[in-house]
Amino acid sequence: MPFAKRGPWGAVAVLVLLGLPGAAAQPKPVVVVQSGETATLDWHMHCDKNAHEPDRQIFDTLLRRDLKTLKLEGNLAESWRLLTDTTWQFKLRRGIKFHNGEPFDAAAVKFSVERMLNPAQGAPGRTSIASIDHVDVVDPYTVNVVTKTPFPLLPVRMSPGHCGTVGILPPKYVAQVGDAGFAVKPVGTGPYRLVEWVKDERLVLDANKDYHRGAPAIERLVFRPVPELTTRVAALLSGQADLVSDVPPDQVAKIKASGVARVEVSTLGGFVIMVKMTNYLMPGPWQDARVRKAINYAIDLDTIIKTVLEGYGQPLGVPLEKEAFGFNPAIKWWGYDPERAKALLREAGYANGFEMTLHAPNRRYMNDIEVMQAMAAMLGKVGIKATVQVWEQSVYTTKWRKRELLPAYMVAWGGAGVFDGDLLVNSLHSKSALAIHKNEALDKILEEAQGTNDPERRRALYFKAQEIIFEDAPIIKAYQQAHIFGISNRLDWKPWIDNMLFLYDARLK
Amino acid sequence: MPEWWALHRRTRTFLAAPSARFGLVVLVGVLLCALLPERLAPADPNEQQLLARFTPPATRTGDGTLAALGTDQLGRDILSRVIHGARTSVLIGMSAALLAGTVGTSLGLTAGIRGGMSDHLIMRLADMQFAFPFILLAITVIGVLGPSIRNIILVVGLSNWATYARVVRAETLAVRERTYVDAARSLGLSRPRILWRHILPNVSASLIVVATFGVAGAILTEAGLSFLGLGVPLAIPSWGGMLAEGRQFVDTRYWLALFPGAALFVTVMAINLLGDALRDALDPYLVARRAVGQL
Amino acid sequence: MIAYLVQRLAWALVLLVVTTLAVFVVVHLSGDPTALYVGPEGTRADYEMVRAALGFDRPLPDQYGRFLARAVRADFGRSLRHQQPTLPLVLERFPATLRLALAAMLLAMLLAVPLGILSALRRNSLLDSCAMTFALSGQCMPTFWLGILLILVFGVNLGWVPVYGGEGLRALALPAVTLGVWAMARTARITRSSMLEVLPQDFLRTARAKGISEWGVILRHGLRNGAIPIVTALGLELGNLLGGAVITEAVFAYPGIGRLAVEAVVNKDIPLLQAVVFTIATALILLNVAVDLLYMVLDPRVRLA
Repeated sequence: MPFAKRGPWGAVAVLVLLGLPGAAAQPKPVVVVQSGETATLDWHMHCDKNAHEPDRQIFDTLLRRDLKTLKLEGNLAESWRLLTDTTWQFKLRRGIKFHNGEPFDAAAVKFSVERMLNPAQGAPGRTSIASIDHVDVVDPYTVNVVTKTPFPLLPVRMSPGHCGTVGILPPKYVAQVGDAGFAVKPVGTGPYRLVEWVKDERLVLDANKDYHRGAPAIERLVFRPVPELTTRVAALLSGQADLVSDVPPDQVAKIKASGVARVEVSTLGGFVIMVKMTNYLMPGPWQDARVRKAINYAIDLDTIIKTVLEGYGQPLGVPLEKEAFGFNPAIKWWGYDPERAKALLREAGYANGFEMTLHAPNRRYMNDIEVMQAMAAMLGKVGIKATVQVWEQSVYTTKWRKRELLPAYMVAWGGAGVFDGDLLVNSLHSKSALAIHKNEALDKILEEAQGTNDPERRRALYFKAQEIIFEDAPIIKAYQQAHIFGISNRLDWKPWIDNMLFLYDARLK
Repeated sequence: MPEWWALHRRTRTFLAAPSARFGLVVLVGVLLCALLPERLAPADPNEQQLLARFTPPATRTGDGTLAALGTDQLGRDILSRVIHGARTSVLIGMSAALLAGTVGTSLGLTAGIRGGMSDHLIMRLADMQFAFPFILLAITVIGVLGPSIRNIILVVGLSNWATYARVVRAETLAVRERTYVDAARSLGLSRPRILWRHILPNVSASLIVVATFGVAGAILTEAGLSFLGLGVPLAIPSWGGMLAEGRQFVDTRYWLALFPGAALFVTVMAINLLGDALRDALDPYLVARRAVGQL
Repeated sequence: MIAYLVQRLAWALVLLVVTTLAVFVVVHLSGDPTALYVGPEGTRADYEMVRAALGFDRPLPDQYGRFLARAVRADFGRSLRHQQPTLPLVLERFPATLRLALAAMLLAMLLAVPLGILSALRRNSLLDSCAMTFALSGQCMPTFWLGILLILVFGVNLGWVPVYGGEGLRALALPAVTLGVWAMARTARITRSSMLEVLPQDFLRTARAKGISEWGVILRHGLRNGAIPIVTALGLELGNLLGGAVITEAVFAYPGIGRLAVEAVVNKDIPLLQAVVFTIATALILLNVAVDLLYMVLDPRVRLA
C-alpha cells in the first residue's frame, strides 16, 4: 500500500483507514457486487435477480436440489409424498427457528403459501403456484398442500428458484411489522441474517450460527450495487469485490490474466433464451407459419453463439433444456438456410420482404443487444428489414407483461432448477404471462400434462407438444446461455445452477 | 474604414493564428464526412461481419479487406462508423445551434426593442436558463418523451438560447440609442428594416462565435446522453453511441472507444479553437486594442 | 442595499414558481401524466385512484394550482420504485452531491486560479501555451470518458483509490477529479483572460509606483478586481457542476442525487425525478442570490447603485 511507504505517519494513516476496531479480528467480509439496487427484500414480492441474491441467503424453502445429482431432497421439510392426486403431504423438520427466534412450524408454511397465493397480496410469482388451493395444518409439523388439479410440479415450486417458488416467512413477525416493514427488515430461516441495509450502498448479512444445517463458513456477506459493468469488474480486479455474476465473455480474458481473480462458468440449467413471435396480437406477415419458418431459416444461430457469445452457449431446438424432464431429443430445429428462407417468403407472398421490430432488453442476458442486432442483420440479408428496439430493465418487464413488445421480443425462461417440460407452459401456453402466441392444440396438450401426476404420460405429452411447437415455429431459435462468474482467488465457491448465488457452501481460502 | 477592408483585416488576423488554421482544416474534414459519408467510408457502417469481430486496427479481416481502424463487437468497420457518425454529430450540433440561435435571437430582439416588462421577463428567464443544469432537464424531457434525434435537438436547442438572447439584446439596446435610428424612423422606415440593416450585421459576428461554442457543447451533450442510454437510437451510428458501446472494452479492445472518442475530442477541440480565434478576430474591443498595439 | 436584497429574493421566488411551471409542463408533455405517476406497473384501479387523488381529471389551471399547493407542502409524491415519499429520499442524497461539487470546485480553484494567473503573467510563453492547451483539452473531453480512464489507471492498475464506494476522502478523489477537470479548464481560462484585462490598468501602475512588490500588486489589487468575473464564473460553475455530477455519479456509482436522477429516468420513476429537479433548482436559485450578495461585497460600485 502506498501509504505505508511514508514511514510512521503512513502506518498511522493505514490503521486509521482500516478502522482500528475491526482491523484486528475479523477477516474482510465477502463482497458481492450487483448490477443494481433492489426495491424490496420480501421474497414473495419480487422477481428481481438483485433482490433474489441476498434473499437466497436469508430465506429457506421446504425442499432443495442436491448439488450433484440434481434430485430434490428435503430442506426445511424432512420428507414429502403424494397422498392423493391433489394432495401433497410434507413432514417438517423440528427445532428450526427463524432469525428472530420465532419457531418454524406448519403454521409458517401455511402462512407463506397462502400469502403468496393471495391475489390481494400481488405476488408476482403467484401464477406459478396458482394450482394450489389451500394448505391444511395436520399437526405442528405436518402440512397438506391441497391443489385444485393435479400439480406435478409442486415439489419443484417448493425448492429455491428465481420467481414463483415458495420462500418460508415468519407469520407472527410479518403480522407485527407489516409488509412495508418486512420489505426492509426481512427475517427467514436461512444461513444468513440481515444486519444492515443502507439503500443504494450496502446490504450486510451475518452468518446465522443456528442454521439447521450448520453455521456457514463465511462470517459476513456484503452486497453492493454498482450499476456500471466496467466498474464491477474493476472492483473485482482491484480486490474490492469478491464475486461478480453475469460477466460478459469479453471480460473473461482480463479476469483470467489478473492473477487475483478467476473465472468460473456454470453451464448447468442456464437461461433458455428465445425470441418469441406473435401470431395474433399484431397483424402482419408473421401470422403465417411459413414466414415464421423463413425467419428461422434466416438465422445462423451457430455463428451467433460462436462469435457474439464467444461459445458460451448451446443452441437448442425447442426452448427446453436438455436436462429437463420430457426433453425430446428427436427434434431437429429449423437450421440456417437463407435460400430456403427467401423461397418460403416468396411462397407466402412476401418476395419484397417486410419490416419488423425486434424488442431487446438492456443487458438482462449475456450480450442480448448484440445477439438481437446480429439476428436483425441476418434477417436483413433475406429481405426482412428488422429494427432492434432496446428497453431499460424495468420498462421492459412492464411492457412485456402488458404484451406490448410486438411482434417479436427476447426473453429467457427456465433455469433456477426447474428442469421440467412444464417450462413450455410458462413460455408458450397462450394464457401464460409471457405469451404472445396462440396455438390451441399446444395449449390442450400442455394442460393435459399439467393435470396428471403420471410421469410416463407426462413425458409422452411433452414429446408431442414439442412436435407441435416445431411445426408452428412460434419462436426465432432458442439457445441456452452459460453464466460466467468472476470470483476472487480468496473465495472458494463454485457456481451451480445458472446465475443463482447460494453462498452457504462458500469458504475463504 | 470601408467594410470590406475591415473584413479583410479581420480574416487575416483570424487566419494568422495556427489554432484557427488547425480548427478550420479539421472542421472541413468533419463536414466532408458529414455530407458525403457514403463516398468516404470504405464499408456500410451497419454491415456486420460476425466472424471478424474485434479485429484490431490495421489488420485484414478473413475475406482480405483491411479494417483501418478495426472492427467492433459485431464486426462493423469502425472507420466507416466514425465517418457516418460525423453526420449525426454535425446534424445534432448544427440543428441545436440553429434552434437555439433562432429562439434566442427572437427573444433578444423582443427584449431589446420592447423593453420594460417583456425585457425584464425574458432576461430573468435567461438567468434561469443559465443557472439550471441542463442535463437534468434533458434527461427529464427525454425520459418523458423518449430518445430520438428530434427530441435531442429539441432539448439541447431549447436549453441554450440564453446566450444568444443576451448578445442580441445588448446590441439592440446599443443601436436603439443611436440617433440615426431616430432619423431613419422619422423618414418612415419600419422597425423590421431597421433591425435588419443595423442590428443584425453588428451582432452576427458575436452570434457566430456563440453558435460555434454552442455546436461544440451540443456534440458533447449528445455523447453524454448516449452514455446514459438516452441518446440516438442504436441503428444510427453516432460517436456518443459508439463510446457507450465501446466503454466496457476500453482496456481489452481499446479501438472501439478510442477512435470515436478521438473524433469527438478533436472535433470539439477544433470547434473551440475556431471559436476562440473568431472571437479574437471579431471582438471589436480586442480589435481596437490590437490596432493601438496594446495586444 | 436592503432594497436590492429584497428585490433579489423576490425574483428568486418568482423563479421558483416558474420552475414548478416548467416541471409541470414537462410532465404533461407526455400526454398522460397519470400514467407517469402510477408507473408502468400500475393497474387500472390504481390509475383511477391516482387520477382522482392528484386531480388529473380537472382542467389544467386547476391542476397546476393543486400541483403548486403540493409543492409548497413539499409533497412531491411517492417514488414508484422505492415506495417512499420522494423529497426525503432526495434530501438524503443531496449532501453527497454537494460534497462532490464543492470538492471539484475546490480543486478547480486551487489548481486553476494560480495556473491562470501565471499564464497571464507569462503571456505567450511556453507555460502559457501548455497550460492553455491543457485547459482546452479539459473542456473537450466527455466526462464519462475521462472517468472510465481514471478508474482504469488509478483504481485498477495503480490501486491508489477504491474503484467505487469507499469512505470519505478516498471515495471523493476520482469523481471529484473527473468532475473538476471541466471546471478547472474553464476557470483557468477565465482567470487568465480576466487577469489579462486587469493587469495593464492604471491603478495597478499606481500601486507599483507606490513600491508594493509585484506579488502584492497582483494578489491584493489585481486579484481583488479580477475576482469579480471569477466569482461569478465559479458561482455559475457550481450549477454546471451539479449537472456534470449526473454523469460522473453514474460512472462511479457515487451515491448522490445525480445517480438518483439517472435511475429515476431509467426506471420511469417520474415523481422522484420531479423531486430531484425541484431540489436542484431551488438550491441553484439560492446560490445565485448568494453570489449576488458576494458580488455586492466585492464590487463597491454595485453597493452604491
